[in-house]
Amino acid sequence: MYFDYLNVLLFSSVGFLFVFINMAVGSLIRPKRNTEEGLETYECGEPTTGETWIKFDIRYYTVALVYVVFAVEIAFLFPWAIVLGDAFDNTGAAEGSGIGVFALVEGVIFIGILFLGLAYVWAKGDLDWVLGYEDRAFDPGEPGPLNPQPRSLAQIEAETKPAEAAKHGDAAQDDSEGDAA
Amino acid sequence: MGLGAYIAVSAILFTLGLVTIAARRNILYVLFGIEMILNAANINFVAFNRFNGDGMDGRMFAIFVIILAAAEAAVALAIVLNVYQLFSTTKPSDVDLLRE
Amino acid sequence: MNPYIEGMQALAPELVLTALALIVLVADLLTKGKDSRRMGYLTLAGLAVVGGMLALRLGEPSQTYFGMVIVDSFGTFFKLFTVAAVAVVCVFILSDKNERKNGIGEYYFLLLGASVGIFFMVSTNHLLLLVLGLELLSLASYALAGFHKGQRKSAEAAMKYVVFGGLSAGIMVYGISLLYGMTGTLDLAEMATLAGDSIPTGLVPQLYLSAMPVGVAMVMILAGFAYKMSVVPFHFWTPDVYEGSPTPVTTFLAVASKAAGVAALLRFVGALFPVDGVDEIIMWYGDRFGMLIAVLAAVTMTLGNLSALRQQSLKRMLAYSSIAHAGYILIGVATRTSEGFDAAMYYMTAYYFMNLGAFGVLLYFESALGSDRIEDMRGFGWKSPLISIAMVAFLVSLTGLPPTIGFYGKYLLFKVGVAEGLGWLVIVAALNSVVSLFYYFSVAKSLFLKESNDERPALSQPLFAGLLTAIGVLTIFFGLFPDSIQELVEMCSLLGS
Repeated sequence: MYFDYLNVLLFSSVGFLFVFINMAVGSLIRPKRNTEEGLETYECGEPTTGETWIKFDIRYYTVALVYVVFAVEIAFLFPWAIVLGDAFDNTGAAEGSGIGVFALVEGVIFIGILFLGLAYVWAKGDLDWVLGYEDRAFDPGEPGPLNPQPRSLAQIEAETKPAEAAKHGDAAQDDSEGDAA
Repeated sequence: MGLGAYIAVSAILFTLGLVTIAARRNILYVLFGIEMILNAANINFVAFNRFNGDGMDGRMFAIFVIILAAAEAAVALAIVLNVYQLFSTTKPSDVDLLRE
Repeated sequence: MNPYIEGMQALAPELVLTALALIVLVADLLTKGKDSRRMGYLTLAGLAVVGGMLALRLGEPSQTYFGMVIVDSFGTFFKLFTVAAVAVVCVFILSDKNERKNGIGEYYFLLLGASVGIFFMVSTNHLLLLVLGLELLSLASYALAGFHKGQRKSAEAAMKYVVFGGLSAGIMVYGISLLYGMTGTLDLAEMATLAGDSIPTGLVPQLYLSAMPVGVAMVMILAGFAYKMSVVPFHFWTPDVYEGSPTPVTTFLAVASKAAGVAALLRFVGALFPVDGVDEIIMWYGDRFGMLIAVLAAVTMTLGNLSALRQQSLKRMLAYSSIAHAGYILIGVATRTSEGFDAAMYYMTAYYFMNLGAFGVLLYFESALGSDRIEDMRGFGWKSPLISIAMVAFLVSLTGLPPTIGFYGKYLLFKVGVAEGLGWLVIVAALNSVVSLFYYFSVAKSLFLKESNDERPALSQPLFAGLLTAIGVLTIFFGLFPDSIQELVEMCSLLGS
């Protein structure tokens, strides 16, 4: 049975070798000039300032969260898909249980509920990348203390550090949402 | 490798998770700590299932714990983002409107 | 018949509830969030159907499906009260003057999702399903606590809830993994028997081998229950989360969520450590486990009551009061007898009535006054006499004085506590009730004995006021005639009588 895993070993070895050989070749043939500018993160761009994680737009998080949930649900679908054939044939692990159609219907319902979640995110406008929040199809309701309009992290930063933002000349003027503390 | 090694790894991971929660000042690290505790439990489940004979209970539990961890991380991150929008900080000690 | 189809029929209430949650979500999407009150009415109608299905099942014999889900009267009892509590919470949401009218369809979806979690949590002896139910309830509760996402207090409440919840759930899952390793099974009933077919076989050989690791696992698992019931030392989140959450959500957390924790703990203790266990070492260990719970009960009720004494905010006071009540309920759990469990269930029923009422009145005050400070309620009793008299009934019941349902519940708990040799705990509880009299009475005093300097007129919400008055009337009615609830509890008894 160990032979069965030989292809796994080969596959991963070739993968590792490919990466390391390429990196080794690169480090051998590229010129080495350790100047101060050369060691910057963006050698030919702006000098980096401030903390890193603050700069992301809030929409990255939404998409990432949706992705995490859907990716992980796959963990349920793999075992189901593998034994589904057995369940229909009444063989193997599902011998004599007679749950073929039942298992199929349950799986379809599970996927259906996942799709409902996707439809929810879609309808709420969280998948719209280009459109602004104000253009979304779903009516977010009247803005008020209980229903603020979403702000991007850049906007928040601009509000909390007005002096610094003004220095750069791009202070966001947005007083529409109040914090009802 | 015996069962003891697996349990030792999981116990270390569990302790690291607790220490992370207790020591770090940033809410995101607290969430990391919770994930570490859940994954320590996962190592236990899979190892016990491997060494304690037949059945799929432990492995099933491990899959469900993975899902739970992902769902909890999604909800927790959404809540932390909302807190960041309103408080402009991710330090739990700075978020203290509710107290005696 | 195919056992899977049969199981699905047995799970019909849960399936209908899940379908209802999804229907509410889809309907909210299709109406684009306009006029969310319709979603509230849809939810109420669906809950009525589920309640009817459950009521028809009361008294049916216990059966296990899929090797996980137990359908019995004990579970049905808690499910019925959960449905009732969620329905009352929906009326609270519909009556909340400060709540938005549009775009809050998810409120009902999350409440229904949490109820599905409760349904599975109270009807299983299998630790996997227990954890899944608990987490489904928790995840929905986190989102509910932060539902007013523009409010800083609500956001902070959600953050504190998710941190404490995640931590205690993690510790509980780790404890379960240890218990699984030691006993070789996740089924509590199988764990407690002597001859399992797995290796290692159950709790008894492990206890003979060494009791120490079992103790570690048990304490860790207890952390999860203690967090749901807000028992010391996992109570820290309670006052903050209760204060910061929207009041209907606070009601849900204080009543339905806590009751689910109680039901799951009763099942856990009842399956593993009943007083008449299968083996003498189980009984020996059960005594120690019961003593641990008794000590937790004493600490919890004392800390809850003493902290409640100095609260200015009614919402925060009720939060500490709910911690104290968790302590009282633990008296019944600590006895580990059928009578003790029945007394805990009876007290839980009383708790449903008086806390639904008290939090409802709190919501009414918040709508009318815009404040939850006890001081601001001066003289309110003369403006809204009906609501205020109902509030006094709830406060009397919370204190545990006759003629209310809370009195009889406490009487049952104290009686079974003395009978099972927990006299010291009963004395602590009685002293605590005297302490609680002070802070409950301060609210009544503020309502009726002080002059008002507030000129605002009372609210006119006939449906809401009628509901609160009805709960108040029931609180007194079942205090005068406790037999009907007593019969219901005995019919749904967990350990049999």
